[in-house]
Amino acid sequence: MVHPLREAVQAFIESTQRYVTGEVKFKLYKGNIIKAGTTSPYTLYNESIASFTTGDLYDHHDAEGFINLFGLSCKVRAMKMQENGEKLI
Amino acid sequence: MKEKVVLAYSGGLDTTVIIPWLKENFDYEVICVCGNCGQGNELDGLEERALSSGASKLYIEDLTDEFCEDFIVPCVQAHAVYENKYLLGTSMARPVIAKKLVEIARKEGATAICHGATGKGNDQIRFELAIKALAPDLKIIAAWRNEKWTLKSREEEIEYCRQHGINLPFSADSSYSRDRNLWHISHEGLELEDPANEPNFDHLLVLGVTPEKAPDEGEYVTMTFEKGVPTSVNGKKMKVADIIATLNELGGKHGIGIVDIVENRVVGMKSRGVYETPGGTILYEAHQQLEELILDRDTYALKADLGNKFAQIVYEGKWFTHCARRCRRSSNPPSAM
Repeated sequence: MVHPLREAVQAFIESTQRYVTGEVKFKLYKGNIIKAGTTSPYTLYNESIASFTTGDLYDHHDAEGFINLFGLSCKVRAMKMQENGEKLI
Repeated sequence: MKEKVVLAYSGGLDTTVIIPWLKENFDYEVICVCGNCGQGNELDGLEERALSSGASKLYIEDLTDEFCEDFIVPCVQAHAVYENKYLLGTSMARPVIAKKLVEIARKEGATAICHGATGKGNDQIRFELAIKALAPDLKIIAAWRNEKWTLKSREEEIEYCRQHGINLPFSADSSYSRDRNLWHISHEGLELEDPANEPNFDHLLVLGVTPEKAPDEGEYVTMTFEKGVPTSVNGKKMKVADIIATLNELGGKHGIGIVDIVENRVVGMKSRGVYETPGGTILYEAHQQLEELILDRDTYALKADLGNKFAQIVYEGKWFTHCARRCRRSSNPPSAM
């Protein structure tokens, strides 16, 4: 009846915590927790990729091919429905 | 020599009346155990109360650090939240208490463990699954479900105590049914029993105030974590228990962490309760905030699913398992295992 799932799940969670190190600042105000800055030596947030000014690491043109493949199954299905005279909208 | 029973004792009327009841109906020697998980001043005068009610001994065991490090921290790391709202304050405390009951039962050579959880709730399940997992040979007596239990109200309990020569200043009025530890306090009963009613917060709240009554000025707080474990608040290094206590003060003052929920109990019914988890709410949020920066997308998604599963496991009282001894990293395994 009682099974070993808790240990197994906890072991997974623990293994995800290896790099969860850093500092978090909040402002507490009338029942709200307002973010006021987070830093970590292991952050994967990369401002030069995320920012709207294009950096070297990210080429906007790469997105086009990615979307073509990622959306291919949607497109194939829609074409088939059109072929069969079904309404798409 | 009489057989011994270990009773999970809180000092309240419901568990005090069980002492003479156990002696009368089972002829046990009663050893009371109160696990301190940070429930504040509820521990004052406890020994006198237990002994004058007929217990042969009272153990008051400080479980606060073990509760924080081995039970709360894994839940924080998992972001374990039951039904989107409940931060598991009572669910996490039951296994640490049950573990201590088993340890003392072994030390004392007791043959049974008794608890005062009702037959309608989740806590009977949490206590009993933990005891079964850690000491399958011990008899479990759930007083409230026992055929020899006839007391149906606080008045009857007080009268039963009186008949057994116990005259303690228990009040006959029932207030909210509450459970408190370092992590949270829960409130059930009175007006909350009807979900159509707004909670009477002024009467209800213990750890803090409503947002309306919080200061008009906000307040900053900074926390650090190392490998997922909280290590400091506002630049001061502290153990986890002190971090939670500090955040409880701050969160309570600013009206943080008040939850009003109708939850699905394991035994089938819905129940309405209000929880105050001021420090815990801040800590969960801070840990989450850090993981947003640190975890990759795939891990983040799977962890959210498993965190949900973890909450369910903890809520249902399945903390300990038959392979507990083999798998657990706890520095202090139950001596019984």
